[in-house]
Amino acid sequence: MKKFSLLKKTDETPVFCDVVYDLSIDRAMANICPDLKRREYFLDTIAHPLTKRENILYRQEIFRNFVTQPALFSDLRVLFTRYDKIKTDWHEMKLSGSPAGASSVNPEAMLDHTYASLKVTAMFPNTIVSFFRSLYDTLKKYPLEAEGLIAIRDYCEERIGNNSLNEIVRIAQLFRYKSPEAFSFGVVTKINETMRVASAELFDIEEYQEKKQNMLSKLFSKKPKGPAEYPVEPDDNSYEDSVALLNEALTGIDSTLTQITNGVYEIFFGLSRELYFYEAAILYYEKMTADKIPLCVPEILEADEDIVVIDRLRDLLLASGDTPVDKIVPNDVEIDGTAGILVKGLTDTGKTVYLRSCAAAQLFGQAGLPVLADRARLSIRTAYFSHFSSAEEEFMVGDAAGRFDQEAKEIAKIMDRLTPHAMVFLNETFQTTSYREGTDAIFHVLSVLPNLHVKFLFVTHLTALFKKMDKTKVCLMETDDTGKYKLKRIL
Amino acid sequence: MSRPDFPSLLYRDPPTGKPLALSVFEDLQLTQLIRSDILEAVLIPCGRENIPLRQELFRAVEKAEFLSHLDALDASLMKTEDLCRAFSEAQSEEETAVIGTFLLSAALSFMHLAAKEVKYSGGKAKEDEEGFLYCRFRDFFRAELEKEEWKEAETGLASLLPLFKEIDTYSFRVHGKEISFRVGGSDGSASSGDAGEESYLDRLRACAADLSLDPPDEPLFLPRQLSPVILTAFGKAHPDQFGKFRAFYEKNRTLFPKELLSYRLPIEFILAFTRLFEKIRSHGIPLTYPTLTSERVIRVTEAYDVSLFAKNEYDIVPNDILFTDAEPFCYLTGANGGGKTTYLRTVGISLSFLLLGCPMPCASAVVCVPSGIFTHFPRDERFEGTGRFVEENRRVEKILAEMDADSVVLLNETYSTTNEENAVEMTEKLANQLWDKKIFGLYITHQHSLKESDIPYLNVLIDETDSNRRTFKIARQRSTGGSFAVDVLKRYALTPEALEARFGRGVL
Repeated sequence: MKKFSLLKKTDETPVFCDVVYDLSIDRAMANICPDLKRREYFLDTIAHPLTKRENILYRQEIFRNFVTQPALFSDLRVLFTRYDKIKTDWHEMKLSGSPAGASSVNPEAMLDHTYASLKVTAMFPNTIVSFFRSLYDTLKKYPLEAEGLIAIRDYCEERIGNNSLNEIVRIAQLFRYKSPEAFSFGVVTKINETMRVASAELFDIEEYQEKKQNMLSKLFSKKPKGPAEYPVEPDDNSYEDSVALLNEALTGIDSTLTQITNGVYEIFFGLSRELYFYEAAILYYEKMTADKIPLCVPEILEADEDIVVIDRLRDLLLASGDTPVDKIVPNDVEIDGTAGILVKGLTDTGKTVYLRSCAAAQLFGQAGLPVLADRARLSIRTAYFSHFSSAEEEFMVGDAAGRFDQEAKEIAKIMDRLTPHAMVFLNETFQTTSYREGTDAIFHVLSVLPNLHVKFLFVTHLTALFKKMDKTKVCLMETDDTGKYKLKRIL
Repeated sequence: MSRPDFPSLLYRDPPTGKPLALSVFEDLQLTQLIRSDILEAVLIPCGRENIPLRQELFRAVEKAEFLSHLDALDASLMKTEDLCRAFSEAQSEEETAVIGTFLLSAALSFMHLAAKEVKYSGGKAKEDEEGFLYCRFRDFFRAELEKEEWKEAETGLASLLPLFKEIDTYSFRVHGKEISFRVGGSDGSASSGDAGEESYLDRLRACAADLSLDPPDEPLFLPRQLSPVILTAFGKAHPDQFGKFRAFYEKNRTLFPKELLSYRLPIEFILAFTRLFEKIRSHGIPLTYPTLTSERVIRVTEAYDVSLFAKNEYDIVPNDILFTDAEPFCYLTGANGGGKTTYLRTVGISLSFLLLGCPMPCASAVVCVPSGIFTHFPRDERFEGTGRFVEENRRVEKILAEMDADSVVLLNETYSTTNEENAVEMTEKLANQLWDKKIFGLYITHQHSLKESDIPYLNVLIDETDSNRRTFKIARQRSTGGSFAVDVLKRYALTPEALEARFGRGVL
């Protein structure tokens, strides 16, 4: 059965993405979204980038609807939170009805327990159908543009009138009240080749009338007596068997009704958690808007267009804090027909900030969110990798050979996992060996990345690398003397 | 009627060799991959004459059609076992008669399946495609089915079994202690329920289908034996049908061949190992049918310890195995966690597979056939016992008493349960004893003060340039490192040559 999601229209294949923490996106979001649960959900969603353009546009539309109609978001949050709670309520009610040491009780007690469990199960089909009504009524109130929200509204409308769903509710209602003594039950069983009963199913349940009634004649009243009918005088054993088989028949209905109700319920289960993503995203949007930091909805292109072009990109971590907008230096990013970007410059001139802001923009854009730029055109990336060397930190006493070995191992892992149109962010990699060896080693690694259409952004002090690179194939950048934190292309 | 000799699926003639101990398979961790009861059925080694016959069988099972056929035989036997169990628990004549009849029917189904020609999509490569053991089994049942008593039974069953549908249903209505029953049949003569109404389950299933939900699982139902009152009612309600079942059963009660059930474990042995082979191959590990030689040598290249599958480890480092008359026995020493026990298991598993008639997980093998395998691995202390050292010694004595010149002995830290002086003395004594008798084997030991002797050493290789990284390779020498950065890049396939081989020539 179909399951709705507010985060994607169709299923995605998992992609590798390990950049969220290296590139301080988590720190930025900690400034924007103080609630840990929502923030972690948001980061987890970001760390699973969408790779289908239709899913990215799907999210963009829903986000836009929520941002322009805050009351819609608020109503849906209340409804879906209540809906998700149905499951826990259901389980709690089931558990509270379970007797301790159930296996050792007598057959009548087992029957009472089974019927009590069935009564709990029987409540929920109606509860779920009521929810569909409430959801439909809510969505009807607002003008919707997002395909996802329209689909939910139309689905609810269809379900309210669905005959099979209403039949399930009707059958469930038969078991909602009273206890076994109030009813007479009709059970049919079948035996197998081992002369054992192999199935027992309920075919009738009726309120028992307290008037003189001949059970035998009632059983036989609808059909003429056939040659194979034989009334049986029950004894203790056959009575126990009958109760046990009735118990099995009711358990069968409970189990089947539970599975069906679960199947229907799953359709919207979990959407309250998906709304956490939008809650954090709305906080991001509101913060940037309030601080007058330019935001734009990026144009999303297919992976094989292989473009990253961003005009006047600003850093997310700086923007999430108290840095005024005029102090956040924007920079341009252009990977269009080139293999990637190399960046050099003195310490504390904004190189790592540049690396970080580019990764954040790409990830946010691919998550269906606006990015901190004037304009952006982003191709879908199929995986994200990062490698941060420890060279930027204080000199570490220890075996340098061990650190280079560790770096080589990490780069080798990246190479093993590369997929076409992935993106790699490197910060001062291979500076843990001699400059010549490190330059040669990383040059060969970068040289093969275009064969897989993998783009890179590499911040480095290995300046000899710049002489080895073909300027027409790689965008070479350096810090600009004219302004702190400004980068310029080396032409 | 005299009982025929049912042919074995695993041995040409009744096996006479000494059985291996199940503890050998436990030590080698094979019991993590194959059920113990299956291994128990094949404890007697194949022997040289049976190995090629079993190899024939395993080669044949590589074809999907034959594998599927064996699965069907296994399923048929499972059903027969269920019926046997129910028969033994029968409480009434009605049960005995009906179950006894179905039991005979199950036996006939199995026999027909066993006698059936297996059809292959590409046609048969040769007449006896399935090998000597299986073809003998098949031909036996073909001959059995020609016998008069089976033909008569089959004719009787053909008319009797459909009657069951006239007596297999009963319904009841219950309120408190008031119950009324009706017995009938599912053929419509007295259909279920009142006027054949749909059960609630059927209605719910239909709704689920209409809503495109996954079909609900069938409720779990443990078959329940009927009480005598009901069974009697069945008999009285259907005197004709039960009378016929009774008559048939009385006439054929001695016909059912219990020997059929003894085929279950051999068939499951073939199926379980075949599935293990599929798993081995799927992880890129070769399987090789060994070449048997009368020369006293065991020479195996790139052998794998497939017991590591039980720990979900599939990246297994292979090693070579070599035992000759000149060097039949070795010590195996080295760093902890370096792969010594793994290597010991590699040897044990390779030879176990040989003795079971299976292909070996290795690149190539030229082997003589050992008479058996003995293992001595560390055991937990048993509180009812006499202490670990005494127990350890007892087990060693047992091995020495039971082994012969063609045995293989694998010792894992034997005599580690006593003080060093004692351990060294006992270790040397045992190793020399085995060396002098030219027993093929290995002895893992941490004892460093062993006296020099003719017994060679195998070591686990360590990479000293890499924080003593374990390589899991076994050899008689250690490797030395090369130049540094290039070595590092080589290790991780980041040299220009390695990168070009994987991704093509660099373009920047």
